[in-house]
Amino acid sequence: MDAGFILQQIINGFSLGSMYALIAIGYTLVYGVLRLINFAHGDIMMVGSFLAFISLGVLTGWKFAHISMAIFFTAVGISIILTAVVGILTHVVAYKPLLDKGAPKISILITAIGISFFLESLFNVIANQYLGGTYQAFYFPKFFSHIIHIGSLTIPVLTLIVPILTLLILLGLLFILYKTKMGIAIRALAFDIYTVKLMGANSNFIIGFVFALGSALAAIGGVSFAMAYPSIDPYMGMLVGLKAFAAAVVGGIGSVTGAVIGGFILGFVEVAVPGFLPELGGWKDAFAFILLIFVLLFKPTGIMGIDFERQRF
Amino acid sequence: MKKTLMALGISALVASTLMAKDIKIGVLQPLTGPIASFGQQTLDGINLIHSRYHTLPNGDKIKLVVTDDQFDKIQTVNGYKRLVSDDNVAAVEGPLASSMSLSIKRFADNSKTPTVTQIATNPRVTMNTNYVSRTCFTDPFQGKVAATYALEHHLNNAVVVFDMKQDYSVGLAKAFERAYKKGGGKLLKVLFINTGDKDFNAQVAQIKRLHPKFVYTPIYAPEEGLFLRQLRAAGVKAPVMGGDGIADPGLLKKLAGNAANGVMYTDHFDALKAPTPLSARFIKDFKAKYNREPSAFAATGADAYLVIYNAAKKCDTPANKTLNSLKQCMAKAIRHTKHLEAVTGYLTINPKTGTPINKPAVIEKIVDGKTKFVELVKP
Repeated sequence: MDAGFILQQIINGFSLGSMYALIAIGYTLVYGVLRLINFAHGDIMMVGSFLAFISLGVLTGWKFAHISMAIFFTAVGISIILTAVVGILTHVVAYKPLLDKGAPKISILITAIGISFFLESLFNVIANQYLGGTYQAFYFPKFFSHIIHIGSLTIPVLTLIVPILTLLILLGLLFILYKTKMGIAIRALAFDIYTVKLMGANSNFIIGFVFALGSALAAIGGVSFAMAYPSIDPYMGMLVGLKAFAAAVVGGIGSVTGAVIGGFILGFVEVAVPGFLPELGGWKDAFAFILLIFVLLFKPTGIMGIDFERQRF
Repeated sequence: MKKTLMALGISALVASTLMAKDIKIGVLQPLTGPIASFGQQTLDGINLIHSRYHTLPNGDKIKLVVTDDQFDKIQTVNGYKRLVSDDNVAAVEGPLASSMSLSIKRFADNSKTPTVTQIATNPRVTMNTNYVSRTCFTDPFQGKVAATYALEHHLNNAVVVFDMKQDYSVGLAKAFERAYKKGGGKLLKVLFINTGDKDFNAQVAQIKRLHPKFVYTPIYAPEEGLFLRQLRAAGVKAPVMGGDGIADPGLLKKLAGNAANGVMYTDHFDALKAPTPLSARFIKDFKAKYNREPSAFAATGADAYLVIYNAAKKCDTPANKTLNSLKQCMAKAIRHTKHLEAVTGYLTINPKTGTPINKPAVIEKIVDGKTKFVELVKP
């Protein structure tokens, strides 16, 4: 067990953790504003990767040959925009009518689970009917799978890009939340939704923006995930979504920074456990949730533990 | 006008009851879900053979009722119950996977519905039942074929990777381990994965450390594709072999890319080796209709249909007027299938075990993205 091996595991952990972080942010944002655990969020990530796949297919005439950077990023851009629209739609169609009627939180939670099954089934039908099979290989420019050798380390370019991207997104997000008018509105909404409405602010628009933001990040997470494990299927969001949710809770749900920290921790655990204790490799999914229980035992509000009476995000 | 229409309608009704009736056969296959491509290929084979053999000698017609089991136990049981009690089928072809076939066994017995699975290889599927039969070999044989091949090629130490959520995978892994150890091979390690896993780096890291000469992977194709990709990326060059669960070269190539090259698997049928005149015709018709060679899934799908068709031919007599007596008779006739000309060979089913006798296996290998026949192994 040399230093190179440990460094390799750390890099891998960072990379996987960033993907969880990107999705965890979505959970945390929506929870902060609506106190709703949006269980369909993992499937939004699946939608993001499928839309990127379909856009790539359309742009390359379903050949997927010689994908240039320009085409790839156009496809990812289209996917981000459309996924954001899907996110807004889930809110407008499923959650908003219930919220307006003052439905109990548990009803909205069940609705979220319903949306999750709906999205899975919808994309199952789309994949089987039009894409020719449940499982699709995800194609991307060769550059990302290019492997950099540093000593005994082998690092795919993608593994380096994703964590950097995640940190940049976190900074951008904190900027939006703390330095822009929209951010102030979101935080105010999280603080007291009724007062914000009384003040004449368009709360629906703000909530829609939060859903769009969360979904866009989920799309980026979905594409990163599809590039790291180049096979996508309609059920890929289920487990990843659950783990990202665990990450958000570990980090302290409601805190954006906490979500990113939680994501990184979870990524590390998942890489480190099979890396250092390969005998336990088959159980790696369980460790995410064991960690969740462990952290909550000592810090019931999560690592960044937000006290919802005093602060937001 | 109205009257004549009604008269026409009534006369048509009378005529149809007097002349031929329909016998419904349920087709329960995974048409969506992780192994949808298996089910779709199977359905192609069933549809083709049905288009040729759909009328019984007395003029009755066989109608297919196709249902999707989604490779999900709940959907499988629901679909099966629907076929039996709503559609009143006389027999069911399927389910494809061993886990799914095991989950409907009890319902087949309770409703006394003859059920023929074309490719569920787990031995338990047809044990202790008179109603579930199969038209393929079982895993003890398949595992032995793989173990024998490995040992014959001096690959005398191995790692096994199996999917602990699938009865097929667990059973086949055990079968291989037994045969391999008996033949003098050394098992270095048995590793497991879960259905739906995408990250196999932990398993790959262990395999890399052990330097096995042979890797046996009795898992399903969606996992195999990514496993191969990660295994080869880590620099492990040992030959990899799987069972009929990975016999989908198209999907493997799609998911694994070049890493699919060199992988071997045991399978039921090779389109280049037509064992009967019927299969030669089937292969020709299949190519004409779908513009590709029939896979083992298509061939085995046709086989199970032929067994059911043959039973219906024997049993659809005035003596079996009610659905129940027809089902009883067909269940018995299926178990007593003798030397039936089918696509993968001549089928004789052992009435006790519900499994064909002397069913050979083929070993296939993916070379330069194409499937290559390696050898035919007779029991």
